[in-house]
Amino acid sequence: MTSATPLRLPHADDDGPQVSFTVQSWRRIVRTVLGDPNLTTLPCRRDLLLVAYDFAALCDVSGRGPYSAKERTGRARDDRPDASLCELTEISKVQTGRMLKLLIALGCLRQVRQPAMGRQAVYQAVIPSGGPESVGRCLAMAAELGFRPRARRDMSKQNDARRQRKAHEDALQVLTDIPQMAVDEPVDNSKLGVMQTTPLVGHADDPPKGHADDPQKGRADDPPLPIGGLGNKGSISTYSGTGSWGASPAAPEEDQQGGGEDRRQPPVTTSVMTVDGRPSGNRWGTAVSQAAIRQTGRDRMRAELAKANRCQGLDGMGCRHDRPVSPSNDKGLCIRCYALIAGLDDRPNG
Amino acid sequence: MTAQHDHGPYDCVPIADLDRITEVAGDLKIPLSVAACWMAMCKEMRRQEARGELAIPYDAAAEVGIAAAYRRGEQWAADFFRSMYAPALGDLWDDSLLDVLATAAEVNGDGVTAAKAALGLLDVPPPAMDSSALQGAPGQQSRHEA
Repeated sequence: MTSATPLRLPHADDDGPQVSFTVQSWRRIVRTVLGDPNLTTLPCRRDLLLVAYDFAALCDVSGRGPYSAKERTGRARDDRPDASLCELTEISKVQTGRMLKLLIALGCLRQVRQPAMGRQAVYQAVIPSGGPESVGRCLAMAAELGFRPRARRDMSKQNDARRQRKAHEDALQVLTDIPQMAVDEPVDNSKLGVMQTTPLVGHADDPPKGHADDPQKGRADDPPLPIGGLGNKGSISTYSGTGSWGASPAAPEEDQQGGGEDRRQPPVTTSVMTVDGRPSGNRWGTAVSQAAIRQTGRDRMRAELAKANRCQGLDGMGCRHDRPVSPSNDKGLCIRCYALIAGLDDRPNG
Repeated sequence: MTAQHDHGPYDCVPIADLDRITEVAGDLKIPLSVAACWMAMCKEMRRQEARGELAIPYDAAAEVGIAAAYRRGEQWAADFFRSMYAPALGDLWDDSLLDVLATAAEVNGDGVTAAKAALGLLDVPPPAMDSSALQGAPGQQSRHEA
């Protein structure tokens, strides 16, 4: 048999949907991508995975097929190739639609046909890049859809308490050190547009209970959530102060402050302030750890690297498949763009 | 007089194509015989496209065709994937990734990313939360099972 066999149309010779190797691989990859640490605050990862699995159960062998909330609920379990793949009961239609949008934002799905009168949307499974761009897009979309981040649960209460204790001790240490530093080593920052101040609230020996660097009763080491909404496409903004993923004005007060009995206290500002009196940095203040800064730097580098290796398309017109350059391709093209120049000569063989 | 011969479509290429085959083999760092097979397939795809028989765009078909050939057990397709991706993956390469690469080709995915995902190297730790949903989710498979 030669390689010249015509490619079949999706569904052309399938007896109903099958769970193919392709789809199984896609499911596994989606599950892996959903393990991204930056997605752990998404409150809907389980639903995302279930919708992805459900789509995988209903699409054709090449990962393509119509899908909607109606499709999801309209087909009996027995109609499905593998009923064990589907957990259908607890996801509403609205939630299904949202999950589809998130899967698209994450780069796991592509809508190949819009829904129309009496016609469902058709989706195609795509292997996501798993890069920070897609994660940022997904988080931004999640914020747009109204999901709120939830506290991470990947640690025991003991760890949480230990971190809180440590943050409290660090706060004590900082508040003790800074006045002494100001006396020992006065710094003239006037030319830099910043001024060194002592904490506005409390006394060095009497630190407030609510720690400004600990905005959700959480950990000072939490890296900023990468929100793509504020930057250009592909950029990851670490500033979440106005991002929709951050606590919105309508959010409960405890989301914006330390919460609990500290609500009425003004937030403790960080030790460095800008000339307009606002604390510098993001809502994590200056306590964003070195690890978080390094991670952000790595993400940015990775994004730039990925961008640099994108296929530029023929004549630099851009790659319509948005693919990376194929490995070892000296022309800087993805395999599909390269194929456009590879098969031009149409002389007969043999 | 040239004797009638029948030795398949790929082991006899026009002399005029040799330059192109060499060029493609050099660009993609694949063996000449593999480049010849792929180019022959590309040409056939072009013909089908001209006749309106191609179900998907030509450039996609040129990639998906490799996966289809691999699924049919054609050796050149396996060699194509191996030649292109094994150097990129270095010591991580093993032939079980051929299936993954074929899948990536079928769904317009990036082969390197797919292979890394299959190897668990996407720079993401296993899910730490919702472990009941993510780890124990139905359909979970090992890499080799797939």
